[in-house]
Amino acid sequence: MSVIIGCVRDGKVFLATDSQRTWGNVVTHAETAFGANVLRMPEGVLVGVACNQAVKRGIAAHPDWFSDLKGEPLTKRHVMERIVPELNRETEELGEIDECAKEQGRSLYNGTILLAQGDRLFCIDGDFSVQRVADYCLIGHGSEYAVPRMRGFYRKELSDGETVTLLGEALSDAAVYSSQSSAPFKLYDTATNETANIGG
Amino acid sequence: MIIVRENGCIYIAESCFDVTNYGQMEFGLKTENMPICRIPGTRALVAATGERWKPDLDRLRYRHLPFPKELSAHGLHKILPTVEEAIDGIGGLKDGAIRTDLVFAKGGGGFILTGGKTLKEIESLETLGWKSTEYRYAMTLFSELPVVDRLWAAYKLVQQYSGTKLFPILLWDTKTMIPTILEEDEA
Repeated sequence: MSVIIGCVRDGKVFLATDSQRTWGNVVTHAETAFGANVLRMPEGVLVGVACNQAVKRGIAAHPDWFSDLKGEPLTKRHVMERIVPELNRETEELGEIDECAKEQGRSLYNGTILLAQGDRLFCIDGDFSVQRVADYCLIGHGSEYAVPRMRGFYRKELSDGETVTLLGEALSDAAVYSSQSSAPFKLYDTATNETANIGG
Repeated sequence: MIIVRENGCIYIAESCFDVTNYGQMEFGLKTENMPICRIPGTRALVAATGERWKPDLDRLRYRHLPFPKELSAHGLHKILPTVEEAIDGIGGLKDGAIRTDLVFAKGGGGFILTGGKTLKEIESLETLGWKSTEYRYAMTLFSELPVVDRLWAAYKLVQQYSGTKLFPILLWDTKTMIPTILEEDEA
């Protein structure tokens, strides 16, 4: 897994992430679009995926979940009624929900997903609950090491530049203390179609 | 969660302070995340408490339940299969029963579905959740206060003595059907 930080700003959402992917003993660094922790989907939706690769594959295979928006903004209702049931079915078909997870009320194997469009950010938790994020949200293994810096220093009044610097520092904290996370760090935002390097 | 039946309506109050694993705080203040919501197309409220309240209430938040015109145990009994079906869709049932405590309220009355199958009519005071004993005690201490002031004072007292942050508090009533936020520094 990796660390992904979603941060709601005026008119847009930043998704900042490290580039490490980890499967057991295999560690890689994402250079391709599909390898990255953030997928670009139709209707300007960014999907931050901190869960296993099979679930990510399931999401990438379904651009229709997002193209159905047809110009409308992404809402929690759409996430709940369109995406979550399909994600649940897809996850089950991929064999990623076992009996133990069912006993606990379904699970994405402790995975978590961020969906961002415009100035809206949603978090799909491992139990398939959906939260509309008001300010910022950190997911993935290693994110606990990035939380203190965000809690301590994030303010809505920060400029975009200051926010990006803070996101890079928070990712650096995670990379220092967690073997699940490492540089380089990437920044996506919902207002542009660009990906920027923010250090590491 | 504290529920009061008074003045011909039902008041439901719940803490909105919640620190998730993901760094968010007060996420319950976003309308889409609130632990109490209006059943679409009705003047009825549904609230949820318990470990799985978030996913289970999310299954009902946008669903047009065939809610009975007059709230009664018989009427609710008829829609429970629909509720169970919605929650079971994402694996919310355990041994065929809902794990979350659900509150249904409309007009001057309401019911609590607890333990998955037990339906209980709302009395003058109901307290649910892990601090229910403290809530009940605090509410009786301030029984002379008007209901909103009483709820504020009770939450303030429980927060003070339990050391657990509870404010802001979300309050809905079945008369106005408008959510109100009680802040900690209100007098």
